[in-house]
Amino acid sequence: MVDQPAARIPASSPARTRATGRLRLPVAALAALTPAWLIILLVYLGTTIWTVQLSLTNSRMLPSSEFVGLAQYERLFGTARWTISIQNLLTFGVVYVVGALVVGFLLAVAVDRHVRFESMWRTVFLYPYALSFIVTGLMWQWLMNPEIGIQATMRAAGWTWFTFDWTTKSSMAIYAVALAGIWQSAGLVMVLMLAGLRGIDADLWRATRIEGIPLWRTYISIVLPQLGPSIATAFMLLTMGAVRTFDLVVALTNGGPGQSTEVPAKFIMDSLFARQDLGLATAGATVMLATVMAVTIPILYARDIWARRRAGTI
Amino acid sequence: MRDPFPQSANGPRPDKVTPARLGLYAFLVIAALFFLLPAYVMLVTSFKSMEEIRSAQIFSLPHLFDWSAWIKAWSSACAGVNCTGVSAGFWNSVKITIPATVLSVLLGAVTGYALSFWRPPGGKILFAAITIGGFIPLQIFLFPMVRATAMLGLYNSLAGIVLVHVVFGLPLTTLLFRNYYASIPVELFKAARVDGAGFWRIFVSLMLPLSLPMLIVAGLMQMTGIWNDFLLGLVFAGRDNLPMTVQLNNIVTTTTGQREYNVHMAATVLTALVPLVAYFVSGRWFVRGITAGSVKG
Amino acid sequence: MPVPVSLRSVDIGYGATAVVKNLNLEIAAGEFLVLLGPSGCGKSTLLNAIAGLTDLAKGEVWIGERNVTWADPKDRGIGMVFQSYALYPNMNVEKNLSFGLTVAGVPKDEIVRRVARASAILQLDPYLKRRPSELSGGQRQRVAIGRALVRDVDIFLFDEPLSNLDAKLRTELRVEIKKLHHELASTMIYVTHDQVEAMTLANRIAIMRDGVIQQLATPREIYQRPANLFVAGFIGSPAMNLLKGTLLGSDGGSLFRSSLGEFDLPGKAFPAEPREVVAGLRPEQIIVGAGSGLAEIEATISVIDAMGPETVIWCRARENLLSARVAGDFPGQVDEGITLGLDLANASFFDQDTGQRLP
Ligand SMILES: Nc1ncnc2c1ncn2[C@@H]1O[C@H](COP(=O)(O)OP(=O)(O)O)[C@@H](O)[C@H]1O
Ligand SMILES: [Mg+2]
Repeated sequence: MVDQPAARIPASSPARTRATGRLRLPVAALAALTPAWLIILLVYLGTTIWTVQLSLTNSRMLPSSEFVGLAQYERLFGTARWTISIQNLLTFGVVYVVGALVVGFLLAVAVDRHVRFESMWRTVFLYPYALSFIVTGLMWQWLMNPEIGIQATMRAAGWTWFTFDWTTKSSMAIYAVALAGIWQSAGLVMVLMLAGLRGIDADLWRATRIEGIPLWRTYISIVLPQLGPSIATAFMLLTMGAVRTFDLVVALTNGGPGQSTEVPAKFIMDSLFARQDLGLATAGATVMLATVMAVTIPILYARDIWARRRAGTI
Repeated sequence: MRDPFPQSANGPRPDKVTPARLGLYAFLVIAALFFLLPAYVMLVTSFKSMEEIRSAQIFSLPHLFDWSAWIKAWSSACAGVNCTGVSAGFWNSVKITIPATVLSVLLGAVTGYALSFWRPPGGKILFAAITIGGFIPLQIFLFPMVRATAMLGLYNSLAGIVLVHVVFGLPLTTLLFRNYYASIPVELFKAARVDGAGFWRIFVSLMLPLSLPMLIVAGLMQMTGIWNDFLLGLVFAGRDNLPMTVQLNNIVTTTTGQREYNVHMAATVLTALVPLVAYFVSGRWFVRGITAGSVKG
Repeated sequence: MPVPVSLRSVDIGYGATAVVKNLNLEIAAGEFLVLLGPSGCGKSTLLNAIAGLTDLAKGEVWIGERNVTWADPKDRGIGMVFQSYALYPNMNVEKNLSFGLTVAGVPKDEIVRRVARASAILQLDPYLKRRPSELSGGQRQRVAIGRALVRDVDIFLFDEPLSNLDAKLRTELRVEIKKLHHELASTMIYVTHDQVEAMTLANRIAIMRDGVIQQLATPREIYQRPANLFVAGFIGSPAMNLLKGTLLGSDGGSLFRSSLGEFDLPGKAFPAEPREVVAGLRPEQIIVGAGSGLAEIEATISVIDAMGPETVIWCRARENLLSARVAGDFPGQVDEGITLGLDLANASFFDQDTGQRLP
């Protein structure tokens, strides 16, 4: 599942099995893993099963055990707010993931060009990632506030045509969420890409200079294809983040104006606690789980294969 | 054949300041402004009076630095009818973050150690399950976890929220430590076993001291993650233990009276302060944590 | 058409640290020049400077009739082969060969022609559709050479191209590179830390140490007349035998006095005043057995290294351990006493203080 350093003795090596003594595994080793097993079985597996099972019953305010098949899912997808949430998530997700990937990649490339004060630039680009989504959301909410934010300042300075009030316009509000998200996460992408860029053989750069390949062409035709694993990782983290988006929306727009920034995670929270509709909440959560797994498991699998192929060929 | 030596090959050393280089720095400066401006605006606004804020010059420095918004934000801003500022949330967050960080890092270290050196039966399955578990959206767990903690009498308690953080921190910390231990030569472990050291002895005297860097990295990641958490604190902490992020949001969304933006921004800066200080003090470890932990979510 | 390369008063450094100082080097058109030296002595730095990949701090680089000191690498008419191959990992062999030409806007049929030629010379035809990761080390390096070849350049630069290969492949590819030089007659500059590669490939070798060329000469000259103790110790395996002693010049010849005795050096004229020197004798300049007519000493065999066609014996004579090259069927035994003849007439002498060769 995880990149193994190539120098590591493979798990199947007889030396390893012998030396680590599978035969004489102390009780302590089993005892030490008990909490992890308990957490995995009871919390991760148990609650997932519970939630999925609830989504197949006619639970409303209280859990019920009456099996109703996919009725809750029909109800869920018949709920306008849920379908709107999904559409919003798609818009947000595409803009946010693509935006953060592009900005993060450009930042990584710029920082990697032997610039002065490299670590200062890196620090500046990454610090938003240390902030909570609540803080991020509030900051941008104020910047886009038409009365006190950037728009008011620019208009006061005489640029009366200037508008930057996305959070108050239902057509633009979802892009406001994406902008704040990109601001927060671009640094993460930069760090991941930078790690990939630094892994590129210095001789390869020399070879492209000898051949006279222009810089932009080198990045597109030679560097970018080699960053596959970094891009996949960043893509996966960003997609996960997009699907989970909740705090950012709460702080920035609280779903509004209207329902223009409602997202599934928030829909589930509201169904669970404000409207106390267990059936909808658990059905929504199950859909969310399926989506996330559909994205991550293939990528984890592909990356595992990459890692093995690399370890095998070098 | 084309002339392999165009005239430009001759002559003096070319100028180092090329347009491309200028463009590069221009891009960096613009990007830095984009990333820094929001924080700058928040900081200066928190020192301004409400009157000055309404004059709509968010980029200007305050006429005179006024700490009163900070004092109010810390000790008397209202969240609903509860006027204690963010200080109560700050201390709650401290009380949640410290035990949750320590416990989840230790649990991750032990689990990673056992998985990576002892190869117990089912270890591979457990590790795969932990890795995938890290990707499951929290919403799946909420209702059952609420019921379970309520049954244990832990719902809406400090112990409850700490437990929840430890449970959901397990994937990240285990992954960090397992990968770290995978980079330690297995011969070291073999030598300790040949010397007759047992499971806990090897862990405490050999592996834990060796993993000091990862203890720092994992501690840092967990600390900022738990401090910045909103959702779990909202659901599990209970009214008396609300973490700072939740309280901040409550203060900002309280609509009675006029909106005191300076107070709100001061409260926001205060909430951001702990992870920011951690980030600026330990930037390199933070970066290492991201790259080491990125295998998971 | 082969082209000469000339480095004039070149300084190269990284930041404040100077790696190469005031270096002059003239490489003749069509020459195979090897830069040889221990790791970290500045060979790659120098080669990169010729390629235009590293800026000079001072001095000039001339290629042919042109001052290319500040020319772009692609405009210098060079091709370069790297130790790590530096192939484009996401492109197959054919694309690796043609990519640079495509970018440079070379007409399609011309590209096809050049790739076919390189592929034929290097026997790459079976692999054209494979990616670098599906090739062995030797095949990868042939592709890398091919990529330099298609550029139709007059100068080839190699930076330790064989260091990542195992011993057998290294020998094979070494022969191929030598053949290539013979066929193309291009100027080739080749960096290595391996003296066997240097000796077998070079027209001339430049031995470097700490960014300074110690000796620039043909392989034979370097082997037989090392310019100083560093070169003497660096070239040759087993290394040259070194004997400390005093050299006394006189009219008809000279006298070498060492702990092993006093030896006449007829025909060698050195200055009269006594001089502390080190005498250097190649293992083959020490002959086993009495009656060789050379300066004879008594010694005891302490180690015998059989190497197949020949054997190297290590003999103890007082505090000295001397190596001698003998036939593969050498009958002696360890701890046996033997007589050694020292061919001092052909020995090298170095000043003990400066390490420089005495003429
Ligand atoms: N990019 C660099 N920055 C700073 N020092 C360098 C750099 N590259 C090489 N050096 C230093 O320059 C010296 C010569 O390096 P190099 O030319 O690579 O040696 P060689 O190829 O002979 O092994 C070494 O001491 C090395 O540490
Ligand atoms: Mg080198």
